[in-house]
Amino acid sequence: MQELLLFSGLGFVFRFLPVFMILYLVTPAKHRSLVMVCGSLLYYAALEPHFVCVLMAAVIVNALLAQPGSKSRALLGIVCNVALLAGAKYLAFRTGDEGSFHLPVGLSFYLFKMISFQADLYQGRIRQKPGFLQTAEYFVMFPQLLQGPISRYEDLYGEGRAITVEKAEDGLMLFMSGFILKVLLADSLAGIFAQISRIGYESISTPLAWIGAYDYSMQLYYDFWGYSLMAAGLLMMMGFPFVRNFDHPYAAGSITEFYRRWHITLGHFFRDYVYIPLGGSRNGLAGTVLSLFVVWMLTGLWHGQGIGYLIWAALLLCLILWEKFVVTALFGRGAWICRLHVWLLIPVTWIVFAMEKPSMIITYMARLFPFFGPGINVYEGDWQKVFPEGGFVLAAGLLLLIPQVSGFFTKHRKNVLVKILLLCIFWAAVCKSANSSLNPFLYLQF
Amino acid sequence: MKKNNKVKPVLLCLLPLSALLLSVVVLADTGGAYEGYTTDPLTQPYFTKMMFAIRDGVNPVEELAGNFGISMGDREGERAEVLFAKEDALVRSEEAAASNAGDEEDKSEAGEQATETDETAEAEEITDLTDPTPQVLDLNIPADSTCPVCPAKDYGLANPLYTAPEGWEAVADTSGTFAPNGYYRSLGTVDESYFADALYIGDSRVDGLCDYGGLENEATFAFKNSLTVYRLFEERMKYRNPQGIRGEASLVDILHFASFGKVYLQIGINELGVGNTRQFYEAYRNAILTIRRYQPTAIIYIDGIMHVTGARSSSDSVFTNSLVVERNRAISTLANGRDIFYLDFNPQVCDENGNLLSELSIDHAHLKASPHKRWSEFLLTHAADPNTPAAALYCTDR
Repeated sequence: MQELLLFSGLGFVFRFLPVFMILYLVTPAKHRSLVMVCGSLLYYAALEPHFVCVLMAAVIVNALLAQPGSKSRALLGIVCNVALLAGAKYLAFRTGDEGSFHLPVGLSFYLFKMISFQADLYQGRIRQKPGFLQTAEYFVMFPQLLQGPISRYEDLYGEGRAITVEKAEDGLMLFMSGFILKVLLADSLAGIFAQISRIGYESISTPLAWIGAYDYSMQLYYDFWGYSLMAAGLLMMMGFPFVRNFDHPYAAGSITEFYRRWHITLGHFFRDYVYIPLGGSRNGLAGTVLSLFVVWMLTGLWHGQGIGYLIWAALLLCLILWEKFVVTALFGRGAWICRLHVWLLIPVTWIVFAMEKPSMIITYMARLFPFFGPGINVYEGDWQKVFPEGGFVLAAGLLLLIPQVSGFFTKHRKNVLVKILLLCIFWAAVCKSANSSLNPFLYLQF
Repeated sequence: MKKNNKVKPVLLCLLPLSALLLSVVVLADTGGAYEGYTTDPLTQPYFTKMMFAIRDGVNPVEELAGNFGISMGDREGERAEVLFAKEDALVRSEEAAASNAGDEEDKSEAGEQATETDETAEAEEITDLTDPTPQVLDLNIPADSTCPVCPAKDYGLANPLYTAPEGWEAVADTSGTFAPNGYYRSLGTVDESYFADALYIGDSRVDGLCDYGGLENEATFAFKNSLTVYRLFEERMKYRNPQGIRGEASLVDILHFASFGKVYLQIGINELGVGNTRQFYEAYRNAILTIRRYQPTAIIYIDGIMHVTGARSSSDSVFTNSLVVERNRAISTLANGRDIFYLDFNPQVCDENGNLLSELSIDHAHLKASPHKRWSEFLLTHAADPNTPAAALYCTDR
């Protein structure tokens, strides 16, 4: 079933998507929301048959509570959504390794959309309350249902929906690009990290530990960026505007800037609905620190219910405070040392995501920084084995981190030769996808 | 949809057209390259067959050219090269028989020489083997013996935990490579120098043994990720020799250009989702025959397929320990206790339920680096001395 539903599955690309698009396009414009809602609910039901009722109930409750300018309704809606999310995460945390309860796929994403909808309605960012069908469509649209982006209602519907050849062509190009990033890059990088993991982190050499950190960082980036492009491309083909979720984060000049470019929609959510309402940087040093603390703890909890994610969030908070109040004071804004933070420290922080248990984080860190011992049964030449097969993928991954590289393709995207090249690479990705077992998107677990 | 005259819908047209074209190419293929593949119509487009064929070495451009009578290479010849040719097997068996015809002293060596009839019969391609007609195992153990199946610890015939699968009694050759002849070697302890002329063949698990087992300066290792016994002689493998030289070569080349006193085979985990146990057994049997042809005097060790963790076994429909046990039971019957032995490392790394200990594996299928020394220790303590002639020994207990 996953072959049919996950964007990187051939079943989705060559079965579900063509059928859905034909239905969508032949339907008169005024009824397309119904097609989207029905298609998306069926899509979700196929993936999470036990939890589709939760989604439908959340849609109905949020639609009924939606009232422009009503603080009490907005608050009630937000509280209900937060309670549902917190309860589900708590249950998942309690059942832990037994796995008797798993977090419903997409829960964190669609509930955040519902929270933003309630807040935007109250604050007047949504100028006119939409009808039930359009509201439901916004909440459940399948291109964003499982992994976001957490688009704002006005960002999607503010300009109106218009299907044009240009938009459809651009959308398809984005979808194909995202597919290539996911299948050819992210999944290949995942294979390298799987080989490193297999060794046992206590037995990897320090060079291999660093290769693994960079490998996993790129895997995470291309997996999520690839998905975001696919989601954006699908929506563009349906007439919606482009939603940017990543803006070359590894070109950032500081960790603060990195997280403005990484998972942009999540960052904007926490900025607009948590940081600014708490006062942000307007309440002096203590107020700023408190606001940042709350934002990052919530970010950590959003990503996962284990202690590792809170450690990750705390670490990033410390680094951001360090940059904001120490480095800037000593070296000024845009200091080179902050750029080093991005290249050296961000990959280290992503290791937390790669580890199943907190003890593994410690073990891996001990190999990254081998000041406490040589490891167990380490084969010193292990890092050299990565390059014969993985060298090309690692190099391609590093190359694409340079904004000018993808910028070149964006600039020349209307060139027929570029499109034909993209098509050829896409078919290579299809071939790889056909011959490998489906690798689910990493952010599907959040 | 509004039309914008400035935009050419290149991808909107080319993508579905190219998908259609590929499907037509596959459908209209007369060369048979895509015949053997099946696709699930719900989740796999028809052209996926071409993708599978590309994975297996088919060149679709050449295949298409061939459909139009344009020769871009010897398609049939290449296919014959890829599959192990019967004619080649016949020639090799005749050569092996001729070179050893004069050796009468060591009965075990004579017993290894497959007759022309046996080997040509056994080198046949695997056909549909759905008929599980049981055959009777006859080890030719004397009537007064109390042990019809000897423990691997002593004689490497078969682990008593892993007798032949239920309802299936192993083939008992009366002559040829697999035939027990009443003469057995016992397994004992050796030092690292034993591996100086050893070749260890296998899948990704052997990759780990090579790097972390502590024998990298002793033995030659030949391995490939995702290797299966079905493609053992077609794939190019990575190898590492005791001098630390690494490279890639086919197993045929490795066996052809070097002489080994011992050959180990650890393979079978990747085949769990492919074919049934009978087909696996027959392919494994043919593989040993082929190895024997190239290495007529080597001791061959069938290293039992290592189990997976309980978590993996209970959650995966393919990689289950019950299937691993069934496959091991089948291949264990190939041992003759004289120059083909079955070793089972699993009791060293599994719990009482036969599940690989979870603390020894990260991915639930491969050992971490640290426990590999246990594996090499096991090999050092379960080795047959080729310099000791096989003796007429009978085990007296189980």
